Amino acid sequence: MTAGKKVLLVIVFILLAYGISAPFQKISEPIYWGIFPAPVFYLLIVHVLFVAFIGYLAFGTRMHGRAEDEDSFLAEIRREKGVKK
Amino acid sequence: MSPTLVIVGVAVYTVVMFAIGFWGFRRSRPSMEDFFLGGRTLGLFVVLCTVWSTLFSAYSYIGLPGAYYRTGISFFGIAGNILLNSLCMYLLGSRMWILGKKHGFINMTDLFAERYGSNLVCVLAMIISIGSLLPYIGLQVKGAGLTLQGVTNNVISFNTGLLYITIVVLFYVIMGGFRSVVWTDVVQSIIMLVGMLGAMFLIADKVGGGLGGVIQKAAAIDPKLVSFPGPAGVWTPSMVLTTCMVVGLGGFAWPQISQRMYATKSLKTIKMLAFIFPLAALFVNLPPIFIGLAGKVQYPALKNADLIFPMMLNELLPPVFGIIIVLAILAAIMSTVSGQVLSLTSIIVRDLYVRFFDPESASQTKITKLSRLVLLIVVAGALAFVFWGPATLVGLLIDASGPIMLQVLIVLIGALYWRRATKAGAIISMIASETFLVLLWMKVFKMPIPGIHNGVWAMILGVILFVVVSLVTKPVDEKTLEKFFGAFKES
Repeated sequence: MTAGKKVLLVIVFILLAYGISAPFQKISEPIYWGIFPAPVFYLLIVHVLFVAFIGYLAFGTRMHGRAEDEDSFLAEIRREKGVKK
Repeated sequence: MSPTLVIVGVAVYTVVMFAIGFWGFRRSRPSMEDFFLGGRTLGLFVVLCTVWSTLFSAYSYIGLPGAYYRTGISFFGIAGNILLNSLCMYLLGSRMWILGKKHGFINMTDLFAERYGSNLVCVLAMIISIGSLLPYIGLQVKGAGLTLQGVTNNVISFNTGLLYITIVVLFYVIMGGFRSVVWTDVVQSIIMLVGMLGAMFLIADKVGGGLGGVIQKAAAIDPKLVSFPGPAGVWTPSMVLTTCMVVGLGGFAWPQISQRMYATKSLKTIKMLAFIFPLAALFVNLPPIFIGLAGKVQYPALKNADLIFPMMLNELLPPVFGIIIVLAILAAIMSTVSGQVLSLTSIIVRDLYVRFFDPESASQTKITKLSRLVLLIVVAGALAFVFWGPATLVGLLIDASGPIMLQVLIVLIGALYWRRATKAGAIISMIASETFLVLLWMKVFKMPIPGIHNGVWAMILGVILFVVVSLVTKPVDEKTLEKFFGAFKES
């Protein structure tokens, strides 16, 4: 991952974290879809955006270090365990 | 609600739990990996159910409606904690899974011992985990006794209810270990989901003619109920964010949650879990808004808001559905307690007995038998602690369970992402931040900036000490680092 992309991800994370903190205080109207008061509706939007962010990290990056080769990793473990036996 | 109906419902539920416990026993093999992690074979649906039902306790049924009753929709800000929890599932859970597969770790503390090359780091994390969870287990079991006593009008006494819960949970955990726990969690998740959604729709229909009617009527009582920071002005942005951090991040470090990362069958399962879990969590986090506000509309001047859901259960819901709610509350308690008990047992057996007393000769069969005995001791200890422990200490540990574990999360992040993290940094960080947290809780200090959760202040101190002490002490040897970071293909 390039440095620029990392900086961009950090900025997006900070914005989403700010969104979680419910910055839209004192807003009570309108009631969306007849059931969600405005703050709950806005928080649900942040929630969905955050889920998309997690999805991107999980499936679009290699932050955990092994996104690309799970099968070969498991095969390697099996080989190692076989050797130990 | 008819006591006979409750007893029949509970009896049927018990038979199902026993059957799953017995099924788990038939499929179990005498190994630590099988007893504590079910052989590391969990698929997405099962791991989603088990994390969901383990994380959400009876508090979701009793505490959350009460919180919305008191503070209006502003309490929904805390639902954001699940997002941070899920982020941890991906960023930390995925690396834990890799290390678990490669080196056979079964909980967070044995990972610490190997990564930091220090039994002291492991023991400290173990003491913190036990201190954080033991009173919580006792409290849940106590709550179950009170629930059964209340809904049967004392036909089932408190002691009988308490004994019942203890026996049922112990039976299926002792019989089938993790396998029984996760499959009972699946059944319990379904009951919890049906109970929560059904209660929301039925109560909203009775009180407000629908979900929208409840919101409109609550807004007519007090417009602050449908805006932030709520009637009491508690949920300011800083308080919402820092509470989310404490509950969400600390929640991941709970042994019963982090341990489930080792149990999944693939990395893809963990990624999907992190992606789907925050959406599934909305099924627990949204209904209490409508239930709590319906309570405010129906009983506007209730002194003890935590009674709101049981009151509406008795007075507004049809008896048959009331049984489902009672079972949902019991399911929420049992699923959380069973996960907590099993993960604490794994820590005690693996990191106390095997590590210090029998590192060479302990056979898998012997360890499995010992684990069943330790399960009994853990439950007995939890009950003894809550009933006879010092009230101040019990109160602190229950109130501060999330913040306490947040301080351990720092050490976990360092173990998985920072090669320069050292044992001295981990030890000093945990001791100092936990001590500081206790002092803040006892109001020995008052922090200069209001509206920030105490757990975050302690975390800031912990992070600073962890980084500074790690940088000035001798790094962990290269061979150990390669064992860990080589597994991520970082080196």
